[in-house]
Amino acid sequence: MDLIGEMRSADAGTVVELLSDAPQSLTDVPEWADEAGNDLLAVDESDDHNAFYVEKS
Amino acid sequence: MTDHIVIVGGGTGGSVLANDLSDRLDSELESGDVAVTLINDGSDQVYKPVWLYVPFGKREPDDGRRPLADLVDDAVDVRNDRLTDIDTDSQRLQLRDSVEDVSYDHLVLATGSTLAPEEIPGLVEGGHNYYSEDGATTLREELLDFSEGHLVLSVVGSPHMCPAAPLEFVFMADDWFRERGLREDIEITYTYPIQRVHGNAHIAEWAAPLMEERNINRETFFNAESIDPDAQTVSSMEGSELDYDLLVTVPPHRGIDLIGDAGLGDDGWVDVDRHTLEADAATSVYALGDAAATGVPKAGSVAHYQAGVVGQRIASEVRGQVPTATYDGKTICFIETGMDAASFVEFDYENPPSPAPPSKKLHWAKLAYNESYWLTARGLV
Repeated sequence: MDLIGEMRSADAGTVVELLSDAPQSLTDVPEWADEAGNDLLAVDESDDHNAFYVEKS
Repeated sequence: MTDHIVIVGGGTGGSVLANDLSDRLDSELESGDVAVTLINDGSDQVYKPVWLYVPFGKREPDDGRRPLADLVDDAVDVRNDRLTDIDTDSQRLQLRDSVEDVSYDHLVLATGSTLAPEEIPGLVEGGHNYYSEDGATTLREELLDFSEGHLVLSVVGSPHMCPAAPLEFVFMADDWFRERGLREDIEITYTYPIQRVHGNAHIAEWAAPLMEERNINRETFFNAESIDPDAQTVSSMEGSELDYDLLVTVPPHRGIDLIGDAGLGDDGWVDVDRHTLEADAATSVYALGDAAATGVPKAGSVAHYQAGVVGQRIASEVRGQVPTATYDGKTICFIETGMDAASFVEFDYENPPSPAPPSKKLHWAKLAYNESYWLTARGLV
């Protein structure tokens, strides 16, 4: 949800980094990025959180 | 030398904390070793949960207002003024109506949420809300005139105050229209930003079948991008479009701009350690309630519990002790499922919610709590 708020105000081509410790994000973020037509460039998984990089189309 | 504790914001978190400190630091306040100042832009405290009931004619906006001076202990200096600058290096604040700066040794930002409907083209003209006094009273008039057509409740802003309130609104609207014999002529649609009906998967899993039973349409993955008030349509970032006859939205929320100006966080939310509630970017600064970016709901119960933690930590600091109190993410919330039934959830950082079966008892518990809320603001419950 925080990611969507940032993407609203971002210009096309901007890459937004989301840091999340919610396990649900591993499915929520790819599904929303796909639905909204944005590109999920990478997911860096670590022990206590995951980093998502999404480019606004 | 007097230790000066300054709280900005006289909502739930600010008033509970002011009363907590006046109790906890009673002797230090008496001796003059400590002073507590509460600054609020306005003379009243506003209890926002009342607004959910206003559109359905169950409460009046005035039911959610009390003079702050009546709620806060006399040992606290309550100032009706507006913050205009935060300087965390010199530990000074500027206020609109005060010539002299206010210096602080401990600062707590409890500045809450504001609405930013202007961020979505057409939303100011086309959308109603129950997230403000004016919005709730205007919506009441609209609902009374609404006897057929398509009612759309769209969650536009996230994060927003009281994450359960959009679900509550459609459940209550469904029941209210049924009681008035109008439901067959009114279609209700609920839109939500992600692929389920609530951010918390456990609450979404509980709510979706209830919405199905009640014939409430769901449009997920729907983030309103613009509204055309003339054509009465909402267009989403995902490329879909929805027609409406009456549009109710949860508008975008922001904290106050001064937080960003002071380098404390984005969008008016203070970046904090989610356990200690200390600001990441400045020393001797805490944030609580809606203003604190902890990831937990922007809800009164959260502000209430966080105020107790911040009160303990500041009291320890004043006494030269190591602060040990931490916030565990505790949140409680009643969720109305109609005009005479409600559920209840309790959760924290480690334990997910498990919504209780809706019952009349829980509905009455919610109404009773709303009545007794003013005891919470006084620090008594």
